[in-house]
Order: sequence, then C-alpha cells, then structure tokens
Amino acid sequence: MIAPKPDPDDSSVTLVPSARSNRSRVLKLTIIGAAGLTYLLLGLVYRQLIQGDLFTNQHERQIRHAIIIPGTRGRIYDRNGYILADNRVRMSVNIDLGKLRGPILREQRRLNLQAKASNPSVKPDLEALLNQARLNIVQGLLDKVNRALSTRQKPINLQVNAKSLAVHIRDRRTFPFQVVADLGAVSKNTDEMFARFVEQMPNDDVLRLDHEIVRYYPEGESAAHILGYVREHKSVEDTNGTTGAAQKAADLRTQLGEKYNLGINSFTSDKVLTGERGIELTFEGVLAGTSGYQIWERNIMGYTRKLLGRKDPKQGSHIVLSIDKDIQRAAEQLLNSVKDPYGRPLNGAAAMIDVETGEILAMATAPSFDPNRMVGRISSEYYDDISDRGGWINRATQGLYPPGSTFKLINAIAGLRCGAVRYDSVLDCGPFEMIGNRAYPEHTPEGYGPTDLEKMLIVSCNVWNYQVGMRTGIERIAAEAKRFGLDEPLLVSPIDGLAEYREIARGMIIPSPAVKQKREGTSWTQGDTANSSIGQGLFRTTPLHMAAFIASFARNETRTNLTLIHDPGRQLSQKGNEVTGLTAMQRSTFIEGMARCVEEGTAKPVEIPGMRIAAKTGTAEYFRDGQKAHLAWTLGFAPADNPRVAFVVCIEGEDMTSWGGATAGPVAKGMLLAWMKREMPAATPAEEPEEEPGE
Amino acid sequence: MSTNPVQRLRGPLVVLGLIFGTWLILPTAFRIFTREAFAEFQAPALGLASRSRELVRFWELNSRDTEELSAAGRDLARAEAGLELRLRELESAASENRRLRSMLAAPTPPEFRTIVARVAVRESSSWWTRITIRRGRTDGVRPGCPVVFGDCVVGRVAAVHVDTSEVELITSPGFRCSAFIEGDQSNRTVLVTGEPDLPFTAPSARVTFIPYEYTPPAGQVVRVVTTGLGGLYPRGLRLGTLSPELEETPQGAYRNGTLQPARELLSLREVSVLVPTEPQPYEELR
Repeated sequence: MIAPKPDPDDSSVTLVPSARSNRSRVLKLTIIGAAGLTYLLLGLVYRQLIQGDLFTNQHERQIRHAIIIPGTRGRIYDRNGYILADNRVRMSVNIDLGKLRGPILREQRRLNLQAKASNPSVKPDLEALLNQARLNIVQGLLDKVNRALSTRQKPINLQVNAKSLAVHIRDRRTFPFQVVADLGAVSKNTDEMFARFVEQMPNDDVLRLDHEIVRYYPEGESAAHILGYVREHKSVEDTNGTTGAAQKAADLRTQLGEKYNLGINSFTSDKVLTGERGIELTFEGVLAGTSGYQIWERNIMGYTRKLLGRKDPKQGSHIVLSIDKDIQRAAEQLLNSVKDPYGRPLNGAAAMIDVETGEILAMATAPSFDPNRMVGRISSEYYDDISDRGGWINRATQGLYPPGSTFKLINAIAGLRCGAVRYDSVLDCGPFEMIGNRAYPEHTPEGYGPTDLEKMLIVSCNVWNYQVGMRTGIERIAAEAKRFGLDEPLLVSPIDGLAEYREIARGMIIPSPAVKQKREGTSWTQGDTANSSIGQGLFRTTPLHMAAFIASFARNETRTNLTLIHDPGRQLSQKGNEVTGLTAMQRSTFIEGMARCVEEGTAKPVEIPGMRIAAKTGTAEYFRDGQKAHLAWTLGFAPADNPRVAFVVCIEGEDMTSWGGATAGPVAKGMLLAWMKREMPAATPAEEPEEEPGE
Repeated sequence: MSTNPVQRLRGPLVVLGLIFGTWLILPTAFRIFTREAFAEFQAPALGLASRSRELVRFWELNSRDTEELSAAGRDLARAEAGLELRLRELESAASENRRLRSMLAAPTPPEFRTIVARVAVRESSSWWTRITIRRGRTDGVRPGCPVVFGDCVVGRVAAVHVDTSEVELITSPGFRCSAFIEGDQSNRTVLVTGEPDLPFTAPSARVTFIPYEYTPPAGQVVRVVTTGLGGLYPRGLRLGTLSPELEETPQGAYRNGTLQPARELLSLREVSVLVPTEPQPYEELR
C-alpha cells in the first residue's frame, strides 16, 4: 500500500521542525555556549593576568620557609693570648621526620588494625594513632642510639618526650627533631659518646649527628664578673633585644622577607646567644656574629623539600682584654681564701692596673659564679645560691665603700697644696684630738707623739690627719678628692663611642656641707671634717676608683682612664688630667713614707724581698646588716721608685676583726708576685714550700 | 629485514623497559633475595679469577733464582726474629695492661680475632669505594667488622655473603670514624668521613671538628689515627695523613681538613678482618 503524499500547503499539521526553527535554536545555544565560554575565558584571563601575581605570591608564601642561623660569637682573649671565652661544639642527635613518613604511616595502619581488632565497635581516632605511630618510630630509633652508646659499665636508656615531639610537629616541623640535645650530657666522657655514635651507628641521613656552637669559658669562675655570660634563646623572637645578635638576625629577617617574599610566619631560627653581663653584654655588637640563612621549599606536609638559597653565618669579631689570666687567677684564689678569725669566708674585690697605660691587669671579685652554668637555662637553685652569697655584684666596680685611711693620702695632698702643713712639719699627736667637745681617738691608746708626714704614712696616724684636715677645711679636701675623680663614673671605655663597660657604680659620694644638707638635712660640723679627713663619714667610692687614684698618684698625675681592652700602643686620655702639684720633696716624702709603711709599718704583709713597694693600708668602719664592721683596704704601687703597676684590695669584714694590712695585704702581695713572675721572673722570690703536716 | 636502526632496536628496548619496570614494582624482599642470590652465584667465579691471579704470581715468584730466594729467606728470618722479640714485649705489655685495668676496674677494650682475607675483586668503577674479599659468613666474618692492613685502617665490612664479603673503604662516602691527630696536645676527637669518589680527583676523606687553635707543624707529616673510643677500631690504627691546608668554617669553632689515605690502600692484595670476640652493638644496628 502506498502512503498518500502530504500536501505541502497544509500547515495545520507539522510533524518535523522547520530548518529555520532549528537554526534559531542552534544560534541560541551557540550564543549561550559562546557567552559561557567567554565568561570562562574572561575568568581565566582575570585569574591568570590580573590575579596571577597575587596567587603566585600566596603560593610562595605558603611553601617558602627561612631558617635564620645566627653567627658564632667572637672569642675573648687575655692580653697574652689565652682564651677566656670560647665556643665549643655541642653534638646532638636529630631525626629527620620527613624521611620517616613511610614507616610512620605503616605503623599507623598497624595500630589502626590492632585497635579495630581489639574493639570493633569503636572507630579509632586516626590523629591520636598518627601521634602514637610517630612516637613508636622515633622511640625505636632512639633505642638504637641507646644500644650504640651503652657500655657494659653504663647502660644508656634515653626516652622520647611525647610532649616535645608533639610541639615539634606543630611548630618546628621544618627542623629535624632533636632526640639527644647534648651527647656530652649523656655521659661524662663526651669524646667516647661521640666516637661510639659515629662508629656504632650506620651513617644514614635519618638519624643525624648534628652540632651546634655553645659558649664556653675555659677558666670557669675566673674573671666571670668581667666576662659576664651569655643567655641562650630558643629563637630570635625570644630575645626581645635590640642590639647585637638579636638585632642582626631581625635585620636579616626583614631583608629576606622582601627578597624572597616571605610572610611573618615563614621564619624559624636556630638558638641565639646574647650577652647578659660584663664584656659579653658591653661588646654584644662586636662579639655577635652575622646571621646566615637557608631558604627552603616545603612540601604539603610541611617538611623541607628543596633548598632555594643559603648564606653561611659569619663569626663575630674577637676581643683581646687587658686582663692577665695568671694575675687574675692569683687575685681570685687569694681573695677566695680570705677568712676572718672564725673561718668565715669574706667578700671583697682586688684590682691591678698598668700605671702607664691604664689597662686593668686584674679585677677580681669574691664571691663569683661559673658562667658555664648560665649558658643554657640557669637552674633556680644555682641562681638562688649566687644571690644568697651576693655573687651578682661586681664589687670592684659597683661596691661603694668608705675609703678609710687610704684617703689620708688625699687629705695630706690637700693639706700640702694649700700650705696647711709642710712635708717636714712635725705635729704633736696624742691619743686623741679634741674637736669641739668631742675627743676623736687615735688607733693606739698612747698616741704617736711627734709625727711628720713620713711617720704618718708609716703608722697611719689619725690625729695628724684630724689636725691637717681641720686646717685645710672640708671644701679643699673635697676639691682634692674631686680632682682625682673619686665621685665621677669611671670611664672604663676602650674605644670611644663604641662601648662602655656598663656595670659601674654611679652613687659615689664626696662629703661636703651641701651634700650632707641634701642627703641628711642637717648642717655640717667640725666633727664631720675630722671624720672626712680619715676617709670616714659620708664617703663612698669603689675599689676601682681607688685603684685609678693610686695609679694616677704613682705617675704624679690626677686621672687614669681605665680600660679592659688591650692596646699595646695605648695613650692615656688627658681629659681632666693634671699633675698633682706636689713638689719633688713632697712627692719623695710620700713615696718614702709609703715604702717604709711596707717595710716597717701597717703594710708589712705586702713586703716582697727584692722589690720596693709603696703602699698604704686602711681599716674603715661600715655598717653590715646593722652592725659595725671593718673594711680592710690596701693600695699601692710597685716598684716604688719606678711605678709600673698599681693595686688595690678591699675586703668586707663580717665584724670588727678584719684589718687593712693583715687581711687585705696578703692578697696584694699575691697579685704582685704573679705580676713579677710574668714581668721579672729572675727577681721573683721562690715560692715558700707548704709546711709538711706535723706529727 | 628492516634497515632502520630504531625499528631494529625497538624490540629489545621494549623488553628492557618491561624488565626494568617489573624490577621496580617487585617486592623489596624479592629484590634483596635476587641481589643476594646473584652475589652468591658470582662468588665462585670471582674466587676462581682471584686464585688464577695468585697462581700466576706464584709461578712468577717460582721463576726467581735460588740465590735471590735464599737472600730473601735470610732477610725474612732476621725480620721474624725481630718480630718475635717485639711480640714478647707486646705480650708482656698486654698482660701488664690487663692487670692494671683490673686493679682500676677500667673497661676492657673489645678483643678481636683476626681473619686474613685475600682481595677477590677491586673494580675500577668503585676502586676507592669498595672491595670484595675472599672470606665470608662461613669464615666467621660479620657485618660491620673493621678491616685493616698492617696498622692501617682499610674500612669496614659492609655486606657478608657465604664465601665473600664486601668491604666499604675509608674513602667511601658511607664511612665514618672518630680519630685523633697525632701531635695535637689537646688530644681532641675529630671525625673522619669518606668523600664521594669523583672522576679525575685524588681519593680522600674529610676530617672535621679539628680544633681551630691546632696548626699542623710545618714540613711534617701529620698522621691521623683511630681513637679506640668508639668500640669499633683498636686505638692507634693509621687512617692516613692530614693535608697541611686546613679550611676555616663559618662557625669559627673548628676547622676542616683533607685526609690523604695511606699508600697501602692503592694496591691491596690482602687484608685482615678484625672480628670482635663478643658481639658489638653495630652488628645489629646495621
């Protein structure tokens, strides 16, 4: 059967869409598609061209990480090249957790299966299992280290601190995890531990032997107050400092941030050492090294993947101190051995100065501390121990004491210069001097009778000084003390404008009517003048001031600017300096009197055969814990006729049983012997052999 | 047959690629087993080649005239007499040492049994890294044992097979050992590690942690010796000589130097494996 042919004019029934209709739909779809595509393309263009830099920037900030490596501190030497502060290598064992991802994940799977098998109804905490897996793997490696380091005599059993591991994973994943911070601390024999590790353990890059540089003071407590100590900070952020190592590292951080497009959180730093006291603090800017860095690319897990850039750190500059290690050590040993009649150790200070250059050869303080114990984290027990013993105070530069009879030198100079007394005047010195209605006593009940300047110096006559002081007047006495700079902060500065030794006293007092009025609100009396003429009353100065005074006097001048830095060609500053103004006869009388003070007077304990020494002793009264006590002083210079070194010793007595020559003299003698051994070994008397214990 | 070389090589390259790919995806245990099996399979051939070389050497020596041999025998007898005397002295010193150690309750250093081994193979590609010796598990050689030649450290045993062992030389990057520098008054421990064997460079090892204040005496050969502290090598064995130029480090706390290995390493024919009489931790840690 043949189907009827459709009528082309019949439009009432349309079974197939017309071509026009199709084209229109296609056109619409094309437009929609093109619009969509254009939108996508525009979006792509926008993302790539407009926002491309932003995304690149964000990506770089996410994957780049900088490690700041602070530079090693410079060394500190004594004037003869012996090392006083050094850096030593501290060996540590670290695990690169980034290389353990496979074993950790396998361990996590094992733990997961174990947990499911033991309790199928509870879904295991995968995060907790991952932490446990990490701990198991790390402990497994540490057990290997334990086996390598253990000997038959001493088994080692180091354990991983789970909390430290968790903190490390959270904060410092870029770094290897430290399982043994100091191989030397595992056993006393550091070399053996090091040798056992390198020879027993396989040389792979998972368990790594790393090292860091730590500060080390080979002389222990010796010169601790001069050197100070360093503090170890976990990172630059912990320092809160604005100078030295911290500042250098912070500056580098800023530079790197700009250069490598690093965000605030893209930095970690190695441990930073900063000076806390003494030379370490004073010369922080010189000693601190220049920081280096490593720029790492990290993977998605936060472990390091590729090194993008690095710069090695640079060691800081070295410093050569004016200190002579042997004299310093002798001074400290003697100072530490000083005891009162009841066997109690006494605190004190001693210093020796090169008369011509002002270089400090020794500056000892007792009690002291061991700076090696400050390098890491100082224990509270040790801190308290130092505090209880009064070991934080540098008594040579910060201890404020009345100078006692050592001031009689200045009182006499003032009297001679103003004509109140002649060098050969003989004064009648009885057992006391009546001033006003009060008797000011001599230190012997009989008095010294007719006394001239030379005899006064030998016996340290009080009455001679009362009489001369009253004639001279307090204004002239105070002016003379000021001329010698006893009230000015000591400029212990080696390089002008670079640094100044910071631990110096600023509260020195030279008594005068104005000072008394200001401090006590009372008027000056004649008795105050008498007291001041023998270095008592309101007087406060430091042992180093007295050392500078006696060094100046030895050169016939008034000022010695001291230094702790060795410079063989050093010239003394002339700022405020002038000649003493004494005539040749006056000066020679002083020197003769001080020399005879050593040969037959109060400074007899200082005497050394073969060397003429000029010295003056003093026993000042001061209040210690509300009780009267004696301060023992001895100062002087040697050789008497051609002074090369000046010295001072000041010992704090516990009560009234310490005396200038007897207590402080032996310390001065010991320092002089150490100096002679260095400078004139042929003239140094042989050391007295220690007595054999008797039967 | 195709003349295009690419087409000709395509087949073998595909097969090689398949083998390589299969090797990569094989389990580790299987690969270790295959490697070990290959070493064992290869061992008799290596031993045979080594013995053949020795035979050649034997006939070469056998051809020397009688006078030369008798002179050599006489010299050898004199040397032996001297060594006998020295041996007695050492035995006496060792006995005294043991007595003093027991009095002081000091730890006794590990004692060793010596296994003399001939060098089986020394390949030119790893001349300064590895040698294979003709002693193995059956002779009592254990992994990690020190290997010496005379008073000179050669290296340590890296892998032990049934009849052969592989020795990692001191110039191999995987080698490390604690050492003393002879003449250093402070007697501080330094670290000796092998350097990568680069072409056209002299073999060497690296000495690190040399105290910065140490200066090699001018014009003198400075020997670097084992410390005996690590429990692996006896004290005083020679590792080599320290080059006079020391390199400063950025930290400044120590310096580094280069160790020239002992000349004996160049032509090794025989070595001694020092096997501790008691097992040491490194044997299970490796």
